[in-house]
Amino acid sequence: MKLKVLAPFSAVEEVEPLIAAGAEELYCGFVPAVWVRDQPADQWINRRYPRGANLCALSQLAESVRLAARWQVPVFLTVNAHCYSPAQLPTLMKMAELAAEAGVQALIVSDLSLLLALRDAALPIRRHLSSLGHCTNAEAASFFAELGVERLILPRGLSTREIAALRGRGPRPLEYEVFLLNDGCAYDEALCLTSHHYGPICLTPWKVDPHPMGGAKEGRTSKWAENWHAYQRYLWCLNNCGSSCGASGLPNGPCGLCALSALGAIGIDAVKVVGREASTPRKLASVRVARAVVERVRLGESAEAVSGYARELRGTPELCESTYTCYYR
Amino acid sequence: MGWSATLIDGVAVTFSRLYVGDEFCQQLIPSGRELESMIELADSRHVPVTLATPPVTDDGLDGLGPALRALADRPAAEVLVNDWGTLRHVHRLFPELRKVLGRVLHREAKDPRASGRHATASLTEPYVTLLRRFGVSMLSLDRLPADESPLPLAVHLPYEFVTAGRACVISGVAFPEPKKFRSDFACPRPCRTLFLDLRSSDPRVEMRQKGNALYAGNGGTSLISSAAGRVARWVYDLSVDKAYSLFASSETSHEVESPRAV
Repeated sequence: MKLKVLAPFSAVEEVEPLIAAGAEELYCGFVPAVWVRDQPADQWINRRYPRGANLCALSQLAESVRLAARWQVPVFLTVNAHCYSPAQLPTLMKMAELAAEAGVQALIVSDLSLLLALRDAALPIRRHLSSLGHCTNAEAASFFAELGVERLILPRGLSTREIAALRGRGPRPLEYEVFLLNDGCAYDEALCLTSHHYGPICLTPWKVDPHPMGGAKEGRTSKWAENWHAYQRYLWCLNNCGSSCGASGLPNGPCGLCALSALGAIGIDAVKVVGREASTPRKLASVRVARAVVERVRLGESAEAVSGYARELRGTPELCESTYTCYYR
Repeated sequence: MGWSATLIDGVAVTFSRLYVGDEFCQQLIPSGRELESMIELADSRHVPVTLATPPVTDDGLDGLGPALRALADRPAAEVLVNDWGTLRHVHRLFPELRKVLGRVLHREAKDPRASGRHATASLTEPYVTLLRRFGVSMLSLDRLPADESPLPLAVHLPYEFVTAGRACVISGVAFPEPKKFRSDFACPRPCRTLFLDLRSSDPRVEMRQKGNALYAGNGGTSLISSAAGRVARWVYDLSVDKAYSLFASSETSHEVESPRAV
């Protein structure tokens, strides 16, 4: 059983506190100045705003890797836009080369052209498939394994039953990583071709006109307003419950803590805390609670006891009961 | 030869291929029997069939089996793939079926709020070699490409797919709380009889939710005149554009390469 706790960081100063809080792996983004200067503002290098969520100098990346290595904690770098233009690929390949030299252990990639270029360049750096690569079945896992991918980050939209099926049929020795805490997505991010540069499109305050067609079941139309209202609550939960915190100071929002026993039994290698852009206290609180519950699983406590402990730590029974904050419903 | 109907801007067109299935939701994979009846319909109009397939879980891939088997010995039959696992599966087990890369896999940044150039997947030589190795014969797009393509292109009209997800707002109408908006569930398919139009304060952003996918208009048939021979196939998506029906037949006067219909 691994269930390594993978944590995000966006500043060198966060590395050691996150490790002290329980992070066993780290990931980050890096946006060089040349990218900000030359590329359109809405074409992000890694699905997060260039500043705030990312390191902005190679020296910061190298220093982060050095600090993490003191504790034998690997650092992964995300380069996971949906797609890159031919003009952008050389910059990314140079970045990959420099990241490998700095000791980054893996690149998190989604774009097939970049993935193939990295394979062909044979850089001494592992390749992890981003959740944006959208691997949702064992046959796709084999496809990516044949391209040299060593870890799959499974999309949020899979249930534990589906993850078990994929892991059971999928090739070995691939590693599997899943989402554990924070930042939901109303659509599947792998299928969402918009840019958050304009804000999340799912949070647009739409005026909605439902159009029933011939054969619509009696009563469905009248249920629509209630359904839309429920959907707004669901979106609020996915959006970290309005960035609120529970009484214990733990950030509210999407959560898979109750599923950790099941994920451990499936053989998941790493569980991901999301939110490179989040504040340092938010990251630290998330990592602490993730590690605390993972330790209960490692100690062999029953699934029921682990789930009860997770709910107790969260201290938000009304959110847990709604299930809208559950990654694995 | 083809299927004649009056559809686009009142122009009578001939369709040369019928797309069936769904590109974004595995709840809408047709059963073998459903597909047989659609094949029968296509046969009666002398057009071949393309089976559109969505991203799938292992259950979904298993669920595609009957439809793929029903299609396997059909002349000129195709599978539109939106999942790398499906591509590998079809290539291994149904090598005779032609394969078209769908819009989920052939990626373009498509944000209706954006203006200016948009990013499209790079068709590098290793990538194209990979696609050819898996027997991909055509790429699907929603916008006209800026550059020449090494593979023939199919462009969808009159809507572009912008985003999709398994937790579907429309499916929620069929369930009480807290059972709404899940991903792993049996859906009674309320989207068969309900779609949504969504408007924002930005007049550029008018969208349509059909099934679990969100669409924006992409210029429609005006793209045809500006394509300058770069497009091998036009796919007119009648499942999203509710203004027309494939069954409003008329005499043929203009040929469009291919429709999309369900």
